[in-house]
Amino acid sequence: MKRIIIAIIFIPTLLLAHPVIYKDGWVYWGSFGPDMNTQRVSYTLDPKFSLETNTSWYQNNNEYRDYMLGANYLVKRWLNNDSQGNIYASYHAGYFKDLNTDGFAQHLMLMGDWESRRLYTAGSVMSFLYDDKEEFKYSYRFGFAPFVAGMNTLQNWVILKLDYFEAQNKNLLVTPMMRFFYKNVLWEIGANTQGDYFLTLMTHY
Amino acid sequence: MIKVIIPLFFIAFSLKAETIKVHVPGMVCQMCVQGMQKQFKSAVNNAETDVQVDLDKKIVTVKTKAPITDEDIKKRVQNAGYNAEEIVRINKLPTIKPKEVKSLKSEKIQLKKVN
Repeated sequence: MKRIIIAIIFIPTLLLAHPVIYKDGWVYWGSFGPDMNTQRVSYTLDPKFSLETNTSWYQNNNEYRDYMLGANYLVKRWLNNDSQGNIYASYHAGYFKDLNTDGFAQHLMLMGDWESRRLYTAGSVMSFLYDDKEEFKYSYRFGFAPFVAGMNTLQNWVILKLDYFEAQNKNLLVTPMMRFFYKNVLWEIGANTQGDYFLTLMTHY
Repeated sequence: MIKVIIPLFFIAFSLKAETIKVHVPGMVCQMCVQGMQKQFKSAVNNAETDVQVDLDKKIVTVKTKAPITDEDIKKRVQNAGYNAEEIVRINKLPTIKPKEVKSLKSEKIQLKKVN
């Protein structure tokens, strides 16, 4: 069970980005650390619905790997003049394995976000179902832009992410990070309070 | 003869093109820009230069290669995930409503102030 819990810690990083974009939009998303690698490709069929495939690998976690297929749905979008808010629901299912065992795993997620050109906040609750067990994880992000960039200009964000996972001794994981957004490419770099650091790359077409 | 016909053809073609300004609330990031450029790609010659997004004013400016209808514009904006609140056609004045003319004038005044 511990190996699955460790793997789950990283997953919300993947999911706390817009899972549905514009019609016919493709997204590649990858997050990399010394002992982990998680990647996803999604295709938005219409502005409310996307399909996605993702895979994860954790070296320090008994060579844990998973291969998932899933769907994301934009439940509600609020469009104000200078800001927008969104609620998304996601379901992913697939196969996991490590050096000792393998099986069927499912992820359910409900996520909300609100952003303006200056501020950004997002929260999610995730349910992980595997081996007849169900675990919950709660994540929250808050970020601000030190300056407001225009079209085709580098945009910078400073973000703080909080993760709370009941099964992991009720620890609160704090991750400060920097985000850079230029045209269709986004980078994130950060490290959590346990010393795990990562680099994330996202691009969309 | 050809020397006359070819320029006339290009002049006639360019007359069909128009500049459209669309007010789209809620655009806050570069992804909105990419989405708009992708959705209007088939209506312009070059999406990067002919589709401009002003994230401050929430205005998408499209220089089309041929006329497109309001319904088509609304559909493309919806496909980008947003709603077109107001459409202003710069070189097709008869289609502009009084409200749109007013907002267009205010935009021009702001531009003059900047200059």
